Amino acid sequence: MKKNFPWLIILNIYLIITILLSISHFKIYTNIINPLFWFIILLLINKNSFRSYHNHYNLYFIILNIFIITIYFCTGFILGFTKSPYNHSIISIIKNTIINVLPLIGIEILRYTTINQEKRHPFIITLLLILIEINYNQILSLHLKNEQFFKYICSYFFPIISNSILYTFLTTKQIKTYYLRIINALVIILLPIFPNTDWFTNGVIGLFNPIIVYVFSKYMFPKERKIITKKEKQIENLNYVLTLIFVIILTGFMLGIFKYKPIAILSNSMSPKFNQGDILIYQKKNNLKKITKNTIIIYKLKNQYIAHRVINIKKINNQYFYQTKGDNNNTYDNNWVSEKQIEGIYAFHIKYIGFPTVWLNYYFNNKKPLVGIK
Amino acid sequence: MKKRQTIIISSLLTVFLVMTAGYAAFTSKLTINGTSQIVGKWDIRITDVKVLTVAPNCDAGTPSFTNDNVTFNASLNKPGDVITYLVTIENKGTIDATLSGISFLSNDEKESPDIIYSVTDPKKDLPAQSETSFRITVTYNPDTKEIPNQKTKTIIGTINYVQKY
Repeated sequence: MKKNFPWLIILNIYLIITILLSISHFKIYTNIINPLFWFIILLLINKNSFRSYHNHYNLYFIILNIFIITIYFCTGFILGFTKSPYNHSIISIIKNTIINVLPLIGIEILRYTTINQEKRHPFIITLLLILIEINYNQILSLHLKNEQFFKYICSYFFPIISNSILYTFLTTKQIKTYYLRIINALVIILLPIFPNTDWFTNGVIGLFNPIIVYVFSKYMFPKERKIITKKEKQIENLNYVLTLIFVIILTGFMLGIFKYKPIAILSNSMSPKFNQGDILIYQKKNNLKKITKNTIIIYKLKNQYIAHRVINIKKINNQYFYQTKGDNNNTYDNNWVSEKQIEGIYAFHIKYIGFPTVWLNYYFNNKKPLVGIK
Repeated sequence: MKKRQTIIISSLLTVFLVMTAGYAAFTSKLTINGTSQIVGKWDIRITDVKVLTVAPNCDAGTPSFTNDNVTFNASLNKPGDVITYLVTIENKGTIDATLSGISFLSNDEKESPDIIYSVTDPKKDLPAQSETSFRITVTYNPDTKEIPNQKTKTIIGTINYVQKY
C-alpha cells in the first residue's frame, strides 16, 4: 500500500514554527523562512500527482476572478482611490512576488495534493492552512478589548476563513486555485492605485466574494446538475443572489452612498424624540436653507456624530452658524455648529435595532456597561 | 442541500450584521494612508501620543489615539501660548517604508490666523519593526490683537508612507 507523505505532521510542525517566529523574528520569518519553506514544499510535491481533469473550467474561474477584481476596482469611482504603498521598481516587484506569491502557490498546490491525491480530510487541511496564513504578530499586538482587534477580525480573519473554505471547495472540483491567488496577489503588488475601502468594505468583500464564486460554480460542474431538480436549483441560487443583493444594498447604505444614511444613537440626549439604541436615518446635507429653528441636524464634532435640535441661527460673513441643544439636556451645546460640520438633517428613526452598536461601543470603549433596554 | 444553504447564509449574515454594528460604532477618519490588503504585511500604525510641553494656564487635555488616528483637544489661554504633543509611529509590518508625503489641512475654508499648527517631520525612512516620532505644536498666534470669533480649529493630518524598495 502506498504510504502518504507525512504532510499533516509537516504542517503541524510548521504551524508551531510560524507562531513562534511571528512573535520573535517576524521580519526574518516573513522575508526568508516562509518563502523558503513553501519553495521546498513545491520541490517535494510529486508533479505527476498534480493534474487537473477540468482544464477548461480553470479558465472560466480565472475570467470570473478578473471580473470580480474589476468590479472591486470600479468601487473606487464611488469611494475614491488611494495610492498603493508598494514600490514598483523591478527589484521591489521581484522581492514582493517572492515573499508574497510563492507561499500562496505552495499553499494551494499542497491543498490540491493532500485533498485530491492523498484523500486527506478537507476540513483538517483547510483548518491547518488557515492557521498558517494568520498574521500572529498583528493579532498579538492588538488588545482583545481594543476596537482595532474587532476591525482586524472583521477585515482580515473572517475573509481568510471564508476564502480558504472556497479554495478547498474548488480544489475538490479539481480547480487549480493557485491561479486565482496569484492573480489576486499580483494585482495588489503591481497596480499603482486601489479603491479607498475601509476595514468594513474589505471585510464584506472578503466575506461574500466566495458566495459569488460558489453560485457560479453551481452552473459549471456537471455532477451538481444531477442531484437536484432544475426548479430546486433555481430557488437555491436565487436565495444566494438575494442575500448578495441585500448585503450590497445595506453596505452601500452604511457607507453613505445613497441619499440617506444611518447612525446609531448612543445617548438619551434627545429623549423622548429618540433614545439610546435607536437607529436614526438622516438625509445627507445638500441644501442648508432647509435648516430652520427646531430642525434636528446631525453634525460632526471631534470625530463623533451628534444629533441635536437647532435652537438659534446666526449669520457671520455670509456663513451660517447654528446653536444646538439636546431635548433632554439642560444647557445648550458648548460651541456653535458651522456649515462645514453639518452632515445632514433628521428624516426618521427606527427603535431598538441600534442596540448591538451601543453594546459594542460600551465594550470596546470601556464605558459603563448597559444594564437593560429600558 | 437546503440545510447546508441555510447554515451558510445564516452564518454569513450573522457575521455581516455584527460587522455592520461595529462599523456604526467605530466610524472614524483615516489619517495615515496605506493599505492593509491581501498580502497583509504592511502595518504602520500610531502607537503613542504624549503631551510634551504646556504653557501656563493652558489645558492640553488627554490625547487619545488608534492605529491610524490621533485626537487631542488643546485649550490655549492667551496669544503666544504653545502646547506640544509627541506622536510615535511604528512600522509593525515586514516591509521597509519611506515617507512620501505629509500634510496638515484645516477644515476652515479661510485659514484661521489665530490658531497655528506646525509639525516636525518624522524620520524619512521607517524600517520594518522600528519606530519614529514627530511633534505637533499648537500655537495661539502671538500677533492676535482681539478675541477671535472662531475659537476652535480642527485639522486633518495625513502621513503617507510607501514601500522603500
